Amino acid sequence: MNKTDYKDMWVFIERDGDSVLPVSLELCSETRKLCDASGEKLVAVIVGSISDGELQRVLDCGVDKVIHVTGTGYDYFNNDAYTNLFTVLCRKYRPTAVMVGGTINGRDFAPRFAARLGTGCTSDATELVWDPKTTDIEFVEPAVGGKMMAVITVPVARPQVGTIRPGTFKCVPCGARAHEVIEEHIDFPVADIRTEILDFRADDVDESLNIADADVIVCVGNAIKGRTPCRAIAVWQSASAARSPARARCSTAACCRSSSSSGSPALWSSQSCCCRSACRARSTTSRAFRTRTWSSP
Amino acid sequence: MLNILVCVKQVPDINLVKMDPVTGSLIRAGVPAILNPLDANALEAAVRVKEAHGGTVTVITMGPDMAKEALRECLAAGADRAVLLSDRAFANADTLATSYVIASAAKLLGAFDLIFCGKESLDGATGQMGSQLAERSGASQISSTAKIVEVDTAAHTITAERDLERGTEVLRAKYPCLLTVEKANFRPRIPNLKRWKASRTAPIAVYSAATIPGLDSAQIGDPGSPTKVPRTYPPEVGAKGSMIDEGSTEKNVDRLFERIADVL
Repeated sequence: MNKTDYKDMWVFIERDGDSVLPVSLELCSETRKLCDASGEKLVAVIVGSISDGELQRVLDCGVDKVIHVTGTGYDYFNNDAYTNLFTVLCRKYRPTAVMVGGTINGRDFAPRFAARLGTGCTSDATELVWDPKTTDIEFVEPAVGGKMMAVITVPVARPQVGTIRPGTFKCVPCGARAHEVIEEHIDFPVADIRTEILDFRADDVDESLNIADADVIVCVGNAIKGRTPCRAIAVWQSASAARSPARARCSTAACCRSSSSSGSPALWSSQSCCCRSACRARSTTSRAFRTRTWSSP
Repeated sequence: MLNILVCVKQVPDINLVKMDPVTGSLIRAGVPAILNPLDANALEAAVRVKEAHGGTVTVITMGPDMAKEALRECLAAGADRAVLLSDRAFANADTLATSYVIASAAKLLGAFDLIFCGKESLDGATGQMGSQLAERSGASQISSTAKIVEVDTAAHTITAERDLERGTEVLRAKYPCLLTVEKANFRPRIPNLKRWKASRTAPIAVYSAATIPGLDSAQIGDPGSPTKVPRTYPPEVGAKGSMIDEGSTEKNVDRLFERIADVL
């Protein structure tokens, strides 16, 4: 295998219905930096039809090329079709790296297509560095329960596959640029999908309680009393909402389940994070994210 | 009769592992090796399926001789047969090389209908073994299994609930199927004394590279591992917590939110 035959860095654009998951945009933003360092092109791989608005959000992250895939088998996520798709695409276009959001489905198929290609897959990197000497990406990740940082590389095989957890990197759109769109039609026979979705039950969650995508989570112990802190938070929220709509999310992400509820829905009580969205957030938030972000500023 | 395989790993109890501040490496000496806790949940899922539908549960691991202890724990908790894959040539394997060795050995042990894996290991924690072993074994795959709904031994399918970020998906998969198991609904049983005693002396088959026919030496151990770890270092220690005391609650809160705004 000659590494120089492999070009471009790919990001799989994972979606929930039409809307692009934040993690895919975060990865585009971060991979853009690697492309700037290495001179590679940033390629977004989009499967299925996408609205102009959502496509624009992807392009705004500085994408040089879009591979837009249509075909049978991709209506719902399934391991067989998506593993096959990425195997076929990687063999045809030979990317040097493929980044996949570390969602449950991302982690389901990325290691599998990496295995089919006989290449390396890393998970949960919290830092990505392009090394000009080796032309490899260094995936820096916490290991052994966060007691050690390990640098993982894929020095010989290509592509370098990485799954990266939501919230690890920030999405900072650098603006759309001239880009090429490649249309690919790859059918996966629906009869060859070995897993059949019988049912999907969406969690009955209040979106305002979804803390998974919050920029800031303020935890308050049950010992807190009085209305002053709540009032202060409300003031701060409206101020930050005025500054930037993205930041306003943190206002909707807070909730009040405190037994000593003051009536102002702004505080998250540490003793009562019993609602489903909190548990979800906990399970999808990486060890890395916890070890890196929970320190005081 | 279902033929079920459970893949487990013996791991250092990382809560007790310390970092050498000078060399940046881990001090493993004196740290007890334990059965990876999440693998106990996978075993429990497998044993429950066996108890409901009949069959045998084989438990397999790759590691040094002392990994037999983890296998004995599995025998005590309901596994029928244990296999250790042990060879110097298997050392320093990443998930891809490990999945190759386990899949190759599994072929020798029979055709498995169901393969169970834990969600991830305590030490490596990549969570990739399940996917890669499914690929190597040609199995269908249900990851993040929260609940097993039905095993249809006539139609050769398993139906399970998957926990996704925003809901629960019910999947039906054909045999052979590999399932990675979430912890919550599969609390491991406590072995009874009889089983525990029997597990102490139960025979454990040991396979080396030479005893697995056709094993490609280029695909095992370090040469078979596409990922490498060129270096490790201690993590930056986060700043210590600090007290805010500006004299009044109003001022304290203002100061707190200034600091939050700083990191945004």
